[in-house]
Amino acid sequence: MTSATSTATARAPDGSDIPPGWSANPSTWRQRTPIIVLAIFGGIAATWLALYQQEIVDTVWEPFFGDGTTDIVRESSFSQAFERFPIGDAALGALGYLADAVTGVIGGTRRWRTMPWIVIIFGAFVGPFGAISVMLTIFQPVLYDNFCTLCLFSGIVSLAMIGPAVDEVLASLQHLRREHRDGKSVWRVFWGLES
Amino acid sequence: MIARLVAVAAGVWLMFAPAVLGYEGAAETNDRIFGPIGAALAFVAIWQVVRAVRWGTLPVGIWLVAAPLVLGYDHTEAIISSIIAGLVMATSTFFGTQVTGSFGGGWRSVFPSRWKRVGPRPAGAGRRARNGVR
Repeated sequence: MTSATSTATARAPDGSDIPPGWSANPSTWRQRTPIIVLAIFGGIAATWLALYQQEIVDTVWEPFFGDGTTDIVRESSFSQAFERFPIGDAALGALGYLADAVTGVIGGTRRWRTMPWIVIIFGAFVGPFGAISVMLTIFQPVLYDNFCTLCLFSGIVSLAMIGPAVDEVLASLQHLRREHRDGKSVWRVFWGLES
Repeated sequence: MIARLVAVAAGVWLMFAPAVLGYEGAAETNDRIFGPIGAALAFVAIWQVVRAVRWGTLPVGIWLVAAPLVLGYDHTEAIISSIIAGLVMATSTFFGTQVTGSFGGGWRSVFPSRWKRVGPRPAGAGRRARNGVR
């Protein structure tokens, strides 16, 4: 009974994979590919910054703010604070984008209901990442009186990923809520053991 | 969309206004903090599923209008810049509010209070209809 109810509530009446009450499926590749592409571009920018920060490469793209990138990525107290850790802040950013891309790729076009765990992890990477980007954008001029072009680009990329990513998270949360209402274990539905 | 982009432009302007207009102190710091915050909120709200985030630009805009008085700006261009950007940001909240897509009741449908309310009730059609769930 629960299986039949679940199928009825998880699928639109026409049997498509569009969440109930939605005008489109947020898990289609058409929806997810732009986010993955953005994550790749953000990852390239962050990787370049990480290589520059670790002095593995000596040049970095900085067409607008003179020594801005050097001031912020190599010489700022924020970046230097990360010297105590095994990984720098720019490399951490690159890993974040990698996580965005990987969690964006995993799963099929029904993952909002078959794999809520990956959708929610995806949202957990994308959402806070955007908030951190805004914070870092504020830090640049307020604390270091300069800007860094690739850092700003990275911030824009992070923010641009939020909108397209969280619709899928909303669909998964609504699915969990419906299954909870139908008496199913949210834990099992979350891990895709019941869908 | 246009209202959001205009608000983004106002926020981005504030990020660079201190350098362009040549002012420092509290005005510079305030603009460099609230410019990016307002721009980011407006930018995220471009997407329909998070259109409600645009409400965040209202308090940011109001603060930018009040900041010259509260923080005692002494640079005329900084005062004008902050007030105009603040008005643009606050006003933008009320434009471009339409959401053409359907999102199954949106974020309200997953608020914790709703979880508690739906628990003891049988799956009622009335509540589902309110949430836009069919």
